[in-house]
Amino acid sequence: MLPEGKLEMEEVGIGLKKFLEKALPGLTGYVAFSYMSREGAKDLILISDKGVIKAAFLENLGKKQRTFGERVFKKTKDIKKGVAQKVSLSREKVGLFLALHEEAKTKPRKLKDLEVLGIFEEEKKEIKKEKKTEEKKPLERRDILRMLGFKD
Amino acid sequence: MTTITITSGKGGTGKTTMAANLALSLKKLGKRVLVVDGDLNMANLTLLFDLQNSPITLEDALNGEAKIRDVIYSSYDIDVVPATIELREYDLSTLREQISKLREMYDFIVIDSAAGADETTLAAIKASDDVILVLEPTKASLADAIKMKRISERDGKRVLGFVMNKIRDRKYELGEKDASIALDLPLLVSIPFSENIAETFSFRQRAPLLVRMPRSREASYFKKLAEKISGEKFEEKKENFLQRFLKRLFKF
Repeated sequence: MLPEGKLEMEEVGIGLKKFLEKALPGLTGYVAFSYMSREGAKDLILISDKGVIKAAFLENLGKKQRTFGERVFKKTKDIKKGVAQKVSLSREKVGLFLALHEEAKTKPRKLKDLEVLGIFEEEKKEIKKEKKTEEKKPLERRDILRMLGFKD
Repeated sequence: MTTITITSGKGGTGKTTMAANLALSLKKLGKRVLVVDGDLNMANLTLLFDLQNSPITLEDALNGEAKIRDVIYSSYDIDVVPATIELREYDLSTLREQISKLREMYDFIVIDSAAGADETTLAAIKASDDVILVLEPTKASLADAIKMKRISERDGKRVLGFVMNKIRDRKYELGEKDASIALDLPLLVSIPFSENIAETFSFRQRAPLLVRMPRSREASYFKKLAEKISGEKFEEKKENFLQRFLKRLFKF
């Protein structure tokens, strides 16, 4: 399931895509992992829509290796920021990622250290949006006039 | 011919800036336009058009000491009736009559009113056909605008709508929708706060924005307002890079 040897972009995309399609059918949002490659610690960021990987990319890799997920590479910083600041893991998802973690442990040659940094859930975004629209909901004319001290 | 008074109730909302730039935009649309400094006690529009040294002003016409046609000056290619910078007595009851004498000469007469709802402001409203309210996104500005709308309608004037000026896009600001609901008026244009507009009244930089930066983003807001008022569209030629380069090179 997980790619062998040195992690190349295409391999990451294909290997984890299959894994996530099976293991994380409902996952939506940004998923970030850190792992140890031959070059040292790297971050892997996946963008998943209900378990289907829409894009994946590795931090600190050269331009040539940015084959999969190049379209969203510009957003790396934003995603990382989101991941770092807004970690939200449900129990089920923690379980799934622990399984992923275990997978990595059993195959130390492939990924020496695979750690889930967090999920930035789309759902959370939606809730925020709703709140925002609630705040911006226009008031009734009568209410505004009363707030300003007018009787009618 | 239409006479439009720009008013707000609250001071500092940008009435003078609006009046000057609306008048200049209407002029650019090919209209015959006159802009009148109706803020007789604090003649800021006069300063904006650099007419503070005018030998005769609106007060002379109001007092019957000069003909109104003789107090029309040309500044930045537009006709302006300035007021005096000095403190002076004047007969406000004749303002409407004096303005009406100029009706056939222009397509639009734009009057910049004073802040507040004192007799100077009321006279400016009485002398006009239509009114535009200028708000900044604050509670006080909205409350004052509601009063000005009521005063205008009581006098039988048509309030065309409001301009939301100096928007900084902050959460605590009054929203255009809320203002529109409270005023029961359409939003004519929203203008974000801009240093370029604020510079208008700096000590050295006095010319209106439409004179200084006619192709700027800020100028487009005033042009949009002029389009709504006149019902006509600007047809500006889009120049390509080479045309712009040659224009700059030869300064034509």
